[in-house]
Amino acid sequence: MSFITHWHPLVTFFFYVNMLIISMCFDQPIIILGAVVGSIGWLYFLLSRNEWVKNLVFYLVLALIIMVTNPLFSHKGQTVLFFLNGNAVTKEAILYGAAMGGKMAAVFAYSRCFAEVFRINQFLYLFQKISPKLALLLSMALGFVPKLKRQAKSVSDMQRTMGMYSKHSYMDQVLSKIRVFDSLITWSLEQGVTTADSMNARGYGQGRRSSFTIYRFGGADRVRLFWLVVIAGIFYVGAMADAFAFSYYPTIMNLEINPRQWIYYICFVSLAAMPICLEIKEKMKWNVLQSKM
Amino acid sequence: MKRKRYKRVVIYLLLVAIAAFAVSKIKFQSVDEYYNADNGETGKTIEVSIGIYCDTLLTNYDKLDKSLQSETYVPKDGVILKETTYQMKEGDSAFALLEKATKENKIQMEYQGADGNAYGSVYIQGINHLYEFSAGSLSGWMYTVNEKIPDYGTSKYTLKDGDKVAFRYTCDLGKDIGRE
Repeated sequence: MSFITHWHPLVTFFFYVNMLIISMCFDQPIIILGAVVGSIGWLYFLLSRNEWVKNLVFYLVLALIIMVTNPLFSHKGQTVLFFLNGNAVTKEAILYGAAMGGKMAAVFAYSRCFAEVFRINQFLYLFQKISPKLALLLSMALGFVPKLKRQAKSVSDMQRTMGMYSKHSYMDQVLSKIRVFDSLITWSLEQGVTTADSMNARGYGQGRRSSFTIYRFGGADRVRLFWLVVIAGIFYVGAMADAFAFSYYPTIMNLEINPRQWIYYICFVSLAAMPICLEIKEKMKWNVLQSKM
Repeated sequence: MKRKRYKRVVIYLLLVAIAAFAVSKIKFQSVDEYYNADNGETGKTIEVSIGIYCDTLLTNYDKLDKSLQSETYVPKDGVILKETTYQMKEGDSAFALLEKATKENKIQMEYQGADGNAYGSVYIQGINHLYEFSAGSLSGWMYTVNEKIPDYGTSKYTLKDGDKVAFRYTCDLGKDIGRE
């Protein structure tokens, strides 16, 4: 249970879109670092310890790969470390790669966070006003991924109990994987047909339908949205005024913050740190309530 | 079981061979080694000259990327390399001359290889950290031979004795360096 599940879907979605834009569009090292720490820190409260470590390792490897490959394709930059097959490998390109890796990790981590807290009915609720068909289709498609995973596991478990995997032969393993894949395709086609039949039987496409949603845009949500819009607005004003402009090529820019621009950075930090603070507050509240019992 | 072990050994040997092949293709050079590399010239030589200029940027300075607005990238007189004479082999291309000149004078240069584009010729992306599109969408590097712009790539132009090659940065698709 996260603090954000009490929020109205619109507010949650607004926050998500903002965090995605911020972590995707800015090259400033402080912004990237803040987004990485903010997203991974939030993820810490949403996942089990084991899963969190697994995710962290994945992000690290991803960032490392980007950091190593960027200098192979980009030879800009003034500080040449050495030449590889006649092409310059520069310090700037490596650091730029590291920054890109951090960005990528932040985007992945934020998406994972919202996948944890954003329920499928919230998603449906948001988009059915714009296009009910698209919303339904999307939610079905997104719901199909974990279904497929589950089915793949159950098929391969079944095959294992039948003694179909031998440990030593590569050929046998590959063939078994192909067999699982084959059965999955048949299964998913069949699923599609049964779903369509079932929807028909329940009267889908017979005319207008109403839908019930439990979300109400209350006073608290109004306050939340207001503050989010204000803080994000100030941040974007700063972005327009080039407060976060930064360049890596040909030499890395000096990291200096104009004292007049502190306000923009404070806005960014409060956006990035908000989920962690609220999550900690929620946890403390829970502990207090438990101790009273 | 024995057959399995034999198979595994073969697979590992193959992997090691592939890795060794890949490593043998990688050539590390320190900065000094790269710039001091000797091409070992023999055969008939011709005398050609080369210069590298970015004087068009002086009038378009405000269009240039902020991070490049410095004298290290755009010298005050707009001359990155003043006219220098080189001995080249007969049949060498204008690109070979540029490569030699930039290496010898330690000028940064990046290009796209001839197999990287549809024209079958090397494309000069940037010299001295000034890249294509660094000063607007119409900017980039072009070259002239004896004050005329050949309408093909640098690696397709074969040098003749006495050629005067000049690489010039343009901010307007060549119109500002004498193209009709």
